[in-house]
This record gives sequence, structure tokens and C-alpha cells, in this order.
Amino acid sequence: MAEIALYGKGGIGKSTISANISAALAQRGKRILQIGCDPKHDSTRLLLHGELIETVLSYMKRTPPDQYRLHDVVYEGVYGIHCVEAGGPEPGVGCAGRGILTTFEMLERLHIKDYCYDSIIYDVLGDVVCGGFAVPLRREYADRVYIITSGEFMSIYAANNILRGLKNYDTEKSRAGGLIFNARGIADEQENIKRFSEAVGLPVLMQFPRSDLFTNSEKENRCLVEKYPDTDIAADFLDLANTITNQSILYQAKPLPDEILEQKVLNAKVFRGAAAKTVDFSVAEKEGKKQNNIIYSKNLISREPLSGCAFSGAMSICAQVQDAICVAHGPVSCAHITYQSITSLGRKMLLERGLVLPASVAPAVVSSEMRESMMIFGGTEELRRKIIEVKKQKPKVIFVLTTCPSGIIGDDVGMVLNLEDDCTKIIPILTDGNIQGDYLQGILMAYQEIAHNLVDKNVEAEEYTVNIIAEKTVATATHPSFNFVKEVLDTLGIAINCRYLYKTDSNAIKNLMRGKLNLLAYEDYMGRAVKKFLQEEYGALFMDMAFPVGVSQSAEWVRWLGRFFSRSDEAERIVARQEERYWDEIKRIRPILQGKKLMIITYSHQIDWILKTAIDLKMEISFIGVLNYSQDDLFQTEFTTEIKELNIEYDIRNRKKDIARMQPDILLSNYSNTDLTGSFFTDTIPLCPQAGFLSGLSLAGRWGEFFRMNLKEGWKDDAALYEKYNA
Amino acid sequence: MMQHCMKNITPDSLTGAIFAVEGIRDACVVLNGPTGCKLYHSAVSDGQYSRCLSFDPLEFAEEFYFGQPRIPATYLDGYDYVYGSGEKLIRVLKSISSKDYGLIAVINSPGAALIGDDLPQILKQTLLAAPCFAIENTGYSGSFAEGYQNALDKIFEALPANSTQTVKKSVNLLGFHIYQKHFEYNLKTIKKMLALCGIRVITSPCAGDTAEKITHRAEAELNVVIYPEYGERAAKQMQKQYGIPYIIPTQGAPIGFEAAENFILEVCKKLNAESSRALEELDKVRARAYLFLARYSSLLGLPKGALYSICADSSTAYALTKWLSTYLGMIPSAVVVTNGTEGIFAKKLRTFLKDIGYGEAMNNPIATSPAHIVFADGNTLAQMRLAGQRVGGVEVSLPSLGYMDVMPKTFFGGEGVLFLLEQILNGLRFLE
Repeated sequence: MAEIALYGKGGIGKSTISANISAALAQRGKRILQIGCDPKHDSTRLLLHGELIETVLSYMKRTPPDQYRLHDVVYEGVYGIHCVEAGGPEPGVGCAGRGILTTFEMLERLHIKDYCYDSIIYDVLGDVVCGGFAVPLRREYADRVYIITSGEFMSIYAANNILRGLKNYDTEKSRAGGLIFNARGIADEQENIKRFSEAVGLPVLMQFPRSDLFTNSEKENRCLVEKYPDTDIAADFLDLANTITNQSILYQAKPLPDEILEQKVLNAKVFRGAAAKTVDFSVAEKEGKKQNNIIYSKNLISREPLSGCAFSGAMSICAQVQDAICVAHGPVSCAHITYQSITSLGRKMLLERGLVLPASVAPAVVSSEMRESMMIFGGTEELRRKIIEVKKQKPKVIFVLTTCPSGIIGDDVGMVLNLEDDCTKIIPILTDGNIQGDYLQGILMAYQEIAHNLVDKNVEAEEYTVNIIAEKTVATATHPSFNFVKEVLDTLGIAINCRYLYKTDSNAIKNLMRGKLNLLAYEDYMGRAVKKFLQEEYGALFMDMAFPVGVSQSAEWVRWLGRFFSRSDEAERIVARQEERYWDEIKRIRPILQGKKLMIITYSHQIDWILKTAIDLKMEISFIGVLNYSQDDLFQTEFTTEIKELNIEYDIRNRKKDIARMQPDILLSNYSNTDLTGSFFTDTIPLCPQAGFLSGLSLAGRWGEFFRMNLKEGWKDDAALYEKYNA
Repeated sequence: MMQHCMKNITPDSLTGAIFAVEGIRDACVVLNGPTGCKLYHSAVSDGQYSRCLSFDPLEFAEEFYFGQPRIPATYLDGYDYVYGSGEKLIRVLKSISSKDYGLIAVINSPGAALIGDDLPQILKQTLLAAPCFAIENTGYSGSFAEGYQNALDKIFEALPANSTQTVKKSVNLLGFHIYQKHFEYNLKTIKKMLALCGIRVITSPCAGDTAEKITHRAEAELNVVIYPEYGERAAKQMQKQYGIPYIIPTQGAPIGFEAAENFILEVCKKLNAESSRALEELDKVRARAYLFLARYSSLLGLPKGALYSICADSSTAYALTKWLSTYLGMIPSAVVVTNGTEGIFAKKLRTFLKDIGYGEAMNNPIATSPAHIVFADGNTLAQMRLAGQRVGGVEVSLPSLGYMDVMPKTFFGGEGVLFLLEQILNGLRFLE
């Protein structure tokens, strides 16, 4: 069986030629299947005498998969030719390439090739615009490929692109059969084709002249070989069909670089980068027209591999708005992954602390459940239906977050905005999965979009109120850190206005500006970015420090608050009480840990809370290695003089060597590892440490107990047993 | 409160396909997709079926792994969606080619499936020594079972049977996967029961066996489908290809005494094997259960009459419901089947509940229906707490709340009965 792919630019006449080749072969008694791979689905029209047939994609859209049958999509045309049309979406929606992939998958599943065809003709749209339209080029489909072209510039340009596509697939074997020249009767056409044919090393197998015979036969919905069987052109089609099916020599695809194609084949003049000038927008910028005021994540700015996806990051924030529903526009898998990520904290907190966090236990997330047909025909209709459905629950806000597939097929989510009403606001957040960036980028997008859509800039600030900004939604420290902050605020008589964005609602967000002062939870990349955004766009007033971790920061933080709200006496009392506890504990464990060598290898960029405690305990900070971390890029410390060796941008490959060199008593890292051998004690630093005076001590207390008792971890001797019975 | 109306979002065909392959001991899934799809699946795979000793991401610092031990990925970004992922995919395949895997599967993420990269051709080009295959499209929003079964078809294609010489009194156990709670010890328990009957298990694909072991599947005299929603298609295919008959135990998974006994008897009958030792072991367990139930019942009158709810796959839900209602006399409140209502055990479950007068249990919302003991996943149990319910919770499916099961646990056979009974009797004690 020969499988023949005919490619050509749209409108070049490839369907006419394909149908005539099929008809010519069938006239000689061959069993032929022609598959039209063009969304406009008219490849087989002439073979079916003008009858439009149901396309595979339209059939799949209305039929459950277990009921797919070949007889529903394969129609019999003239001379018994079997005709199939892939079909596709309306222009401007969905993904036609995905449609071709889906069609081939279905036909393969139904074993269409088992029906003993002599030849299968694939009539494929245009140049190879994406992987979907390249499917017939794949090895298991076409075994020879022909390109239909006129001598016009764009047609030859498309022909060259088809050769590029073919070259990508033909690494070992040659499958290019040649060119089929469908003349348009324009000047220099013959010469253009000749030069192109020579330059790419492909023969022109047949030339078809511009002829009224084509027009006349098509008017009657007939192939030329059927309507005018005794003409020269009909004879040419018979010859061509014969050549194609018997062709033993096939050629390698050798596409030309664009410049050579344009200069040498098409005789076009090309100028590259010499005289073209860029446009000066400086005047507009001076007038305040910003071109690029988006906040970007560290991953994007550093052009690092993306860590997680923007869709998931944005969802983790939107789910904190407790009178909102998040619609994940995409397949279930995207919503599932994000849902499990959000609920992981809810499950953990319930198990470990008995706490029920509503936004983490039952996030209001639904999926638009995009299926195969929506990938092809577009998913906005289904999205509308989903939004109408969730509106019945009367949410104040519906967030629509987009995934990779909806982004790739270019669904216009803006089309659902007219479903907004007085009760429910609709806020699209166009993350497009990870197309817009990583997890952090999604978080930043959500912070900005939610503020732009909900925050009322005209609300007046109230005395003795604060907002809490940029808490972590999936960290176990969030809850205890908040409790610490709240306890201090309660003691000072200060109210919390809004937690932006954690466990909050649309009304609190609307009144964000009521908070006189903003308290940042973490001074990491995300915290700094959100702070900058709120300062620049809303003139928000921030405290200079983030939530404090450790004794020094906590004392400074509490005192700062006291001064700001004129509650210094109360603040001093809190500090005195907590510092006394801290120093009592330091005095107790210092004799045990004094002089011990501390080595730290960490992703955490803010570790002064540990260093301060270690220094107070008179330990030696012998080594710090700071690893590259997707969530932060600014290591800061007050203790540079106390650190013997500091390595920013630490190369992890040196870890074992450096441990052997430093001989630490205690190795701190974010994760412990049984593979690191030595007589040192290992402990872990939480990536999101808990706020409060005693954070550093809670770690050091553990080290103290360990060294006081001179404890050993006997289980570490059982590695060989593990290998024997489990590995 | 609005959130209570939201349903759990359960895994779909992408996860089903990935976990089918991840359940093969020496297999590797290469995800052609962004890290957003990779990180979750790697974490769950590693958590459910641990094959390394550390969480230290620095141990897995090489490109494509992103600090995790499982599922290297091509970390696709916007550029790759436009220009294709071939170059990265070739690099990742070359990087894993020296790792001595028994099977390599390249699986497209939903986004990657749209761009149409020719995965089989890329696999061919990289000349991997290990058997390999590609899944270009796992299906958008398909069920977990669809993804799993499609992947299993591909696994069997890539690992052809190396012998069809039947081993007498041997079986394959079908339908297990790593996204089942306690899958490892459930499987071990069945193997122990069958061993008492002189029956050997050739393989249980996707639940801890090596690729090589799966190539022996045609040696089995019988296929036993524990979970038909995942294993029946493979059983039918092996029946057609190798002539191996299969059974789906009529009482479902061997949960509870009756189902466990029935399981033993049906398998033994098919293989003409001796069931008495296995049945005797079950009798011993029955005797122990009787002691505890008699004392508990004499003091509290329970567990008879206590309300229970279930959220699980149909084969688990059916066996559990039958045991709870016919052996312990407990009353079904809400029974939710997570994998569709058309499977054989979903239908049997509906009939059974109707027959005992509780047909409406399958329509009741689990979060708000009153119950004393709930058998479900961690999310459902947490949501019941959010809804103000105070219940005893037993995790029978995933995700978990995170309790670490250091002691191996099972739901199957006699050991499974004792475990469940312990949970029920203690759970009921803590209720007001």
C-alpha cells in the first residue's frame, strides 16, 4: 500500500489535484482512500459530486468514544473511492492542528488501514504550520510526499517550509517525491519553479496549465478526469498517478535558508538590519505612558527553568478569597494538581495540629473539564456554561484562571465577562499554565489583578489598623507566625484590617486602604515585589521590616510598632519579657554549645535569626554556602565579620569536599541526608521559619540536648540491612 | 458555607498513565511537559512508592529532575510550545540512558500533546537500550482508569511476553497501582493467602514488579482481576492473546471475611488448588474478631447501628459496604463511588444498598450526611470536619492526611479485617 501526502499552500489547487489523482488511480481499479486534512473540509467534494460529508471531528464531538465506527465517517465517492474529511474549528478558535492529530488517532484506533487499500492519499493544508499538520509526514503515515506549488513567491516559500518540516522527520530515509507545478499563468513562473526545483534537488513531476477544463468540471462538482476523460490534462493525471505509485527513487528534503530562497530563487532584494531604525518612544514615556509595568518573577528575569506554573501559583492566592470561586479553564489534570497542592496544607494542619483551615481544606475550585473536542473547537462555550453553573452559588467573585492548553489554543476568556452582574464580579487571570511564567509569577499576577479589580483606592485609612501582606499560603509556619503577630498587635491595641491575601474576602480586599500600616510577612523576592507594587500603585505605607524571626528582629519589630502607634511602653514590656526568656535559655545551653563549629548550606536567604542565636551561644560559624533558590535572590546578613567563610552562589558539587575540610560539629541545611557521613550532627532549617523571639532558640535547644546527652543515632548503622532487604 | 458545595477534584487520565508506569520498580517516566505537571506527580510517586532515602533536593540536582528523585521532565515553557520540545527531549533521554532502567515511557503533558512533537520518532533517534514507548496524548479530562489502562496496553506492547509456558497453579493479579492506599501490603496479603493455597503469583503489573517480571505474565494459568476498573481490559487482552482465562471475584476485593473466603474459594476452584489452610487462617481471625466484638457489643451495643459513610473506588466500596452492613450490622449513610457509576461493582453496590433498604445512600452528599465512621480519602475527611462533623475517619483512598504508616497495613484478608475493626471500635469510642 502506498501512502501519499500532498502538501501545498492554501488555495493552490491541491484538493483539485489530489482528487484527480485519486480518481485517476481508481479508474484503473485501485482501491483508494482520500483523507482531507484541512479545516475547510472540501478535499473530497469533487469525489462526492459536491456532497458535503460529516467530518471526523464533528462526528467525534457528538458521539461517545465507545460508539465510534468507521462507517459513520468514511463515505463512498466516485469509482468507489473512500472519502474522509478531518474537519476542524471555525477560523479564529480552537486548534486545527490538534484536530488533525485527533483525527489520525481515531482512524488508527478503528484500524482503517486494515481495509486493504492500494493507496491512501492525504491532502494536507498549507505549509507545515505546527506539529498537528505535520502528522501525515510522520513515518507511520505517508511513505512519500509531494508538494503542489505555483511559481508565485508565497507558494514557493510555503513549499520550502514543507521541505523543512519533512527534513525534521526524515533523519534516516528520504521521502520527498517531487514537485507538482500548478501554473497560475503569471510572469517568470516557469523560471522560478525551475530554479527552486534545481536548488532543492527535486524533479517537477508534472505541470498543469491554467485551464477552463478545471473550472468547468468543478462547476459540475466533478473531477476533470471524470468529466473530460479524453483530454490531455486527464492523460497527464493518469501519468502522474502512475509515476507517483511506481516511483522507486525518492529524494532527501533539502530546504533552502530563507535568504538564499529569496535572493537566488525568487530574485527578491533583501536588506538585513542595515538601515532599519527602531522607533523612539521616549517622549511618550516621559508623558507617563508605561510600556512594561508588570512585575516579573526571579525565574523569568534570570531566564531560569520555570519552577511550577503560573496557573497554580495564581490559584493558590485566589483560593484565599473565601467568597470567591475559582474556575480552572483547562483539563481536569491542571485543576487536580493545583487542588491537591492547596489542600496539602489543610490536610497536614488537621493531622498535625487539629486545625481546620477552610481555604485549604475545601478550596472553591472547579474545572471547566476541557476535553478533546474543546481543544479542537475552542472551550469558551463550555467555560460560559461552567460560570453560569457556579454563579448559582452566588459568589462575590469568580476568578477564571487559564491553563497551558487553553492558552495554546487561544481561547478568548474575555468572552465570559458579560456574565458579570451586580452580585458577581468576574476576574480573568490569564496565566495560560506556565506560558506566562512560573509559580511565583502566577502569585504576582494574582496579587496585581485582584488589587486592580477589587481594591477601592478612595477608602480612608483608619488609626490603629494594619494590613498583613504576602503571607505564604502553603507554609506550616503561616498560622503560628500570624498568632505571634496577632498577640503583639492585640497587646498594643492594634486591629488587623485585611490579610492580603490569606484567608480573606472581597469586602476586606475592597477596603484594603483602611489599613494605616502594612506589615510584610516575608522580605523575600515575593514579599519585596508585592510591597513595591502596593507602594507604587496605591501609595501603601509599609513597616521597614518583615515579620521578625529571632530575638533581635523581634525586639526591633515590636519597638518599631510601638513607636509608630505611640505605644512604646507596652512594646518595651513585651520585649523585656521575651528577652528575659531568651537569655535565660541561652545561659542554660551555652556551656554545651560554646565553641562548636557550625556549617550551613542553605536555600534560605534570611538566616540571621539562626546566626544571632549561634553567636549568643558563642558558637563558631565556620562556613555558609547559599544555594540558588527560585524564590529568592538576595542574601543579607549583619554578621559578615563573624562568618569565617561565606559562599554566595554556592556550588553543591563541593558539599562533600567542604564538609571534609571544615569538620563541623553541626551541619545545618534545609534537608538532611543520610548520604553525608561524618561525626557531625545534622539539623534542618525550615524554608519558611516561624516568626517570634524564640525561633532561633527552638533549633539551638535541640542541638543542646543532643550534645548534652552525647546521643547517638544507632539506626544510621543499618544502611546495609536496608540495602539487603529493601533496595 | 459556599465551599462545602465544591467537589474534590480527583486525578484524571494524565495521572493514571503516569502512575501506571511509575508502579514498575525499574521504570522511568519522562514527562514531556512543564515542571508544574512534574513536581506533583514526582512527589506523590516518591511518597507512595519510595525508592530513595532522602528528601534532599541536592541529591537530585541534575538537569530535568528539579531536586526530586522521580519523573525527569523537559520543563517546557512558552518558547517550547511554539518551537517544539524535540531538542530538550533528546537531551533528557540521553541523560537517563545510562541509568539502567528496565522501561522508559515518554508521556506528554496536556499542553505538549497539542503541539504534536513526534515522540516515537524521537525515541527511535535516541537509540535507547531499554524498552521504551511514548504516550502522545493521555486524553484530556479522561478518567484515571482510562489513563492507567491505556498506559498498561503500551507497557505490554513494549514488554512482550518472553514465555508462554504455563506455570501450574499460578496467577497474575491485575488492577493494582501505586495511587491506592496501602497497595504494597494489600498485595502482599493476597500473595500470602494464595501461597497458603499453593498458588504462586507471577506478576502484578504496575505495583512494584520489575519490567522483566512483567514479561513473564503469559506464564500464568489464570488472571485474577482485583480491581476491574483498572485490570479487566488487560485480562481480556491476555485472554485473547495468550488464552489465559480470568476471573473477577464475585464479592469484589477481599475486604471482610465473606469476600476474602469467596476470593480464596473462587481462585482455588479455577486452579484446582487446596483452600483449606487459607480458610483455616481466616477462621482463626474470625475467632479473634468475635472476642473483641462480643465484649465491645456487650458494653456499648455497638458497632451495630452505627452510621458509616464511604468514598472510594467501586470495588472497594462494594466489598466494604457489604462487610460493614452484613457482618457488623452498621448503617450506610452516604456511599460515594469515585470512579463512575457504571462498573460492575458500582451496579452491585446499588443493588445491594437497595436490597437492604438504603438505596438513597448513593445519592447522599458525604460531607454533610451524618456519620460515625467514615472510610474515605484525606480531603473528604478534612471537609467533614470543616462541615462540623465529628467522625472517626479511616483512610481507604488518597490523598492521605499524612499519617505515616510505619507498620504495614492492609484492608485485605484476615489482617485487613482486624485493622479495620480496630479502627472502627476505637473510632466509635471517641465520639460524643
